[in-house]
Amino acid sequence: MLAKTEELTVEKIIKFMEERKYVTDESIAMAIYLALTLKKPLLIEGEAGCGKTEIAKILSDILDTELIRLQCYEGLDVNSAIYEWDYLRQLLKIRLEESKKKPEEIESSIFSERFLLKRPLLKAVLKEDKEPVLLIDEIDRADEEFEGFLLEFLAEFQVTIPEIGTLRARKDPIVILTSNRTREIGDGIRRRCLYLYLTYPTLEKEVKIVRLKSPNINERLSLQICRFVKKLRESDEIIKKPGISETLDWASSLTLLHKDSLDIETVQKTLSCLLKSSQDVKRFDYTRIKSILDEIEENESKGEFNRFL
Amino acid sequence: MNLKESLTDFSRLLRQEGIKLTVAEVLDAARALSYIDLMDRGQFYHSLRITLVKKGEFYELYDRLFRLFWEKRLKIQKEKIESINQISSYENLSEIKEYINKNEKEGEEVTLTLYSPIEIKNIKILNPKDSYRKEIQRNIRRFKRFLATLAGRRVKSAIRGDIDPRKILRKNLGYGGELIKVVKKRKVKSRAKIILLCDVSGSMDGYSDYLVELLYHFKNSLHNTEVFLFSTNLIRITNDLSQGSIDYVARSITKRASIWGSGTKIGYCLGLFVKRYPELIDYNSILVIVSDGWDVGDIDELKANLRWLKERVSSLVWLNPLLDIQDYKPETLGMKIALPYIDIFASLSIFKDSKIYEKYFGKAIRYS
Ligand SMILES: Nc1ncnc2c1ncn2[C@@H]1O[C@H](COP(=O)(O)OP(=O)(O)OP(=O)(O)O)[C@@H](O)[C@H]1O
Ligand SMILES: [Mg+2]
Repeated sequence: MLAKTEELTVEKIIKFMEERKYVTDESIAMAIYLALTLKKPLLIEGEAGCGKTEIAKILSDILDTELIRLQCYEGLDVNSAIYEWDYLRQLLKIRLEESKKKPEEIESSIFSERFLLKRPLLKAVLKEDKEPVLLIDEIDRADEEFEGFLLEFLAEFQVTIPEIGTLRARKDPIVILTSNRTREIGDGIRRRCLYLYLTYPTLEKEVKIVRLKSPNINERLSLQICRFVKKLRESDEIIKKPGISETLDWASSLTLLHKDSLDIETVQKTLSCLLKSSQDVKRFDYTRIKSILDEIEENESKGEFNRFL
Repeated sequence: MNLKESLTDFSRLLRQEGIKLTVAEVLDAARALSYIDLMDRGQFYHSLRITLVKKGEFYELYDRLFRLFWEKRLKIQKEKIESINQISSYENLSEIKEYINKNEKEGEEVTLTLYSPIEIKNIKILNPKDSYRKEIQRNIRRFKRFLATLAGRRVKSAIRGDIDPRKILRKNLGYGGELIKVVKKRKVKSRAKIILLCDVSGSMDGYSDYLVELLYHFKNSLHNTEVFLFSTNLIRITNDLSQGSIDYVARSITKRASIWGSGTKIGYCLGLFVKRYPELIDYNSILVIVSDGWDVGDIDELKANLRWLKERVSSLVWLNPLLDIQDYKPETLGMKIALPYIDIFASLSIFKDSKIYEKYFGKAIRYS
């Protein structure tokens, strides 16, 4: 664990991440390193299930600081990202004090910090002891207007509450934004952020991930799994390609079934771990399973599978 | 060839190839390089990618350009660079494009051609500091004379509307083009007042040293100058500028300008200026806005204030550092809004480099 960001090096980041079971290459470690040293937000884009969100979670663990998460969704408005007044409690207070106090007094008391429902961005601003990791997850789901607001927020780390005033962060949060590119993020955000694009891992990396996450898995099986997934990703007919999460799901299902290698029947039975869209399931040509398994066998007979063992 | 210059060249190459990037991002890259192990190829590769390439689809292109630029760079020998310096002129970098598409097997030859236009451009940057200062002073004097010809009369601007600085530039570069002399016979005694409004937000960080020099010399060689800094607020620093040596001044305004380096709201700050200093605004004033035009804040506010000012000052000058960048087009929302109100749109480096000054002002610019 790290006390101060000053002590960070790229090598240490890799080590700390891997201790937390996140396989990290230089590009990821460097992105984190620069985000921390240059104190700039990091925008991570990439395919679904390739480890974007996880980076923020693990980073907060490494830095031993709070993870504040703003999950974006369609229609997310500024208020639900910053604060809302707790109307219920305000009403209650008014009822209680109506007879005893002047309306102005009541008003000023109910529009105070105690009656604020703090949403993630305000939380991040109010955090005083240690800079939190602020994860703004799936920003592509929010609309452009919100993005515009976010851009301002990232520049100043302050929020204005008309009844209270402007609050500025004591410690600028470490910001990680993620996007699955369902909507193109504007250039403004891109310019402001450091950037990392995460795509499907290489075979080596994925095997490493599977072994790290399911240590009991048979070595040969782990390689077969990753080869299979890789070939599946390469085939055009699949629209929603399996990410690392799907590989990991599949691996744990197969371990539960006590399998130590892939066969047609097992793959058929468990394919739903990999194909998540009903369209893909319907359209999938099941004879592909056999041909992929044959290809894998050929790889193995050439001794290629020993490479990682 | 130092690293900073190479980095500038490299970012120029990326831009040329269609990777959009701003000066602020190049500065991020420069900062990043100061935190890494420069001998480590991987760290170098990734830190430039993280700071300069903001879309996944550019990764492959970046990879090619990186290898082409940095790895071959090491192989260029000194004498070759010198011979390159003798090549006289280059129109543009389109040849780079060609070579990049070609097979890299061509090796050294490719490199030589690839680097030549960039190397030539760099030579001028190597000015010793003293002459740089003199240059600024000289160009300010020239600018003063130029402005004198404008002051007191409204400039009709043919370059209103869809202005194309490059066209103007080209026109002025050519010989035998139809160059019209700016009114020279009338000796106008200048009553011109210059009001400098200078953007000091984050994206302008990279110019702050130069800006301090510039503002200092402006105020001290042209005392009818008013100077303001703005980002999200506006402060007047006219008096601070004539209070001592440049180093002293630099320290004291940095202290005052706590706004230095934050976001920008140009429209809002122009509004503050209008409200707080109406007495400065009249037909003798030349309003000079120094800004890269990013993050202008409220667009309507910007427009309204520019329009208001435009009708009340002698002329409106906008100096944009980004104009030095090849292929830069003032296409940010802010610049687009502003252009119709601008009489003179020029690069910020007109004062530090006589050649650039001349491109814009040396020969006459036509207003007709
Ligand atoms: N490099 C890695 N090392 C170890 N585990 C990884 C790695 N990358 C991804 N994972 C695992 O894959 C799963 C998906 O990761 P995560 O949720 O971060 O992906 P995501 O890119 O945010 O996905 P989505 O686009 O669906 O939000 C997690 O269980 C994560 O632990
Ligand atoms: Mg996610």
